[in-house]
Amino acid sequence: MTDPLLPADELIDGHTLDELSDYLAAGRTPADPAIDDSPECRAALTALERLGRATRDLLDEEAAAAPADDDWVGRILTGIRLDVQSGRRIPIVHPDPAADLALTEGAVRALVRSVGDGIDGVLVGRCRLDGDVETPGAPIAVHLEISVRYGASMANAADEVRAAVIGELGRHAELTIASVDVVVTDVRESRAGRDGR
Amino acid sequence: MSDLWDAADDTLAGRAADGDTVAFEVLVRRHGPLMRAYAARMLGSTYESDDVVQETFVTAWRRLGELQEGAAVRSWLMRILSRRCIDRIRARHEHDDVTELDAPTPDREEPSRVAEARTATEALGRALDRLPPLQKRCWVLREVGQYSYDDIARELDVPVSTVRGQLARGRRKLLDEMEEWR
Amino acid sequence: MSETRAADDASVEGSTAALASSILAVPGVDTLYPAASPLGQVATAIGSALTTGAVQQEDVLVAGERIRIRIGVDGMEPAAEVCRRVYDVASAWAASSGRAGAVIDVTAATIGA
Repeated sequence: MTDPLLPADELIDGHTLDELSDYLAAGRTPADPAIDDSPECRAALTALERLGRATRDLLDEEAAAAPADDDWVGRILTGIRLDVQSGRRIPIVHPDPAADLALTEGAVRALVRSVGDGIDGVLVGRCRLDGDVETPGAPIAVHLEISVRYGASMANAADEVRAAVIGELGRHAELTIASVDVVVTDVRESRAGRDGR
Repeated sequence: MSDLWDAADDTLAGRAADGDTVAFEVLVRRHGPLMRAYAARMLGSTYESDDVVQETFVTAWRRLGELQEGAAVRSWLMRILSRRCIDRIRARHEHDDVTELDAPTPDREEPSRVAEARTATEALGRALDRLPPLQKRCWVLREVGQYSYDDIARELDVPVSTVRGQLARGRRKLLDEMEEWR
Repeated sequence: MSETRAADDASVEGSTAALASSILAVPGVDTLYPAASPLGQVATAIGSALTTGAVQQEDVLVAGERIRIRIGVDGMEPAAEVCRRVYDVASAWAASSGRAGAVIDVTAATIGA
């Protein structure tokens, strides 16, 4: 059922602007020669494309003109800080039954992140502890994703991260680490080479 | 760690999902400005846009675990934001817009006083501001939010045919005004 | 048991502050977080009441027979070791404030962060 108030759309070589807009949104596939071969239709498509792009440019320009100010950002961060996820409880053994000691999974993940970040050129992404961390002695597999700076050796970076993580986890937590698996998921260019993504 | 500012959305979203508030801050600074510009257009003013974007980020922080594809965090944020904008609009009882398809929007400036828009984007900005609210929202949801017709219809709770109609009118007006500017 | 504690409430309140300071003095501890849950829900104390009027976020939550402590460690000392030291300090405090049997729950929520 069409909107009864819709004005009769003029036809551009037999096509409505609506049809052309849909065609554009579909990436001009499947190709329709009736549209593609028509100069008027192509002109209309160009105008539509330009309009879409101009809309996005408009908002990008407005965004660039008004970067986030510190107060506003601060309010958001204050709002989320109380929600910090701690994850599971990683117990610390103690002979005294009155002692209930633990590290949080969140603390361990943050530790892994800071250890990995400490390796030159490396930025840690996601970090996962697989296995039953809540049971002392259960084998735990640590999975890490890292981003490496362009030009650095990925294999070396991964090895250094792995060694550092094993070391730090051994020092602070009482986990039985069965494996530390490091995957490079991203390569970062220097800031000069990046277009503000 | 200054490197975090260069990090891809994917890396940042992963860290933030794991509890890293600094990574989240980078996301806020990176995407916040566009979100505010978008919210301002959806809501018709900047008055509430800051609040809505703040709420969006707080919600996003809690729901980061749901994000499958870290690289898609921007569009994910825009979705949450769009939903919040629409909820606000509903709360103002503005869904009456649906029946007032051509509600005249008061011109912000006297036509005779208006200086020529210097750039195409400025001209577009004014043309967009002059669209009736529903046409403007459909347009922004489609072109910036990248919503499908069905999704727009669902979000705004109107028939798809209405969305089509509104987009057709909005598009026509914008094209005409841009032509005129040139 | 709670009746006999009533008279001690004021001194218990004062001494949880003392416990908090001694925890912060433990080598390796850099923060004492509010012991309430992250979402700000404060468990009301069972037995001896520590709150006076308005509920506040306690630095150390003493609820009945359980003492809840949430710390941040500085990362220099092994976290597990620091937790044990805090336990020792809290255990001594518990014994001296008439809570010898209390369970002492020490959680390290940040390491070096």
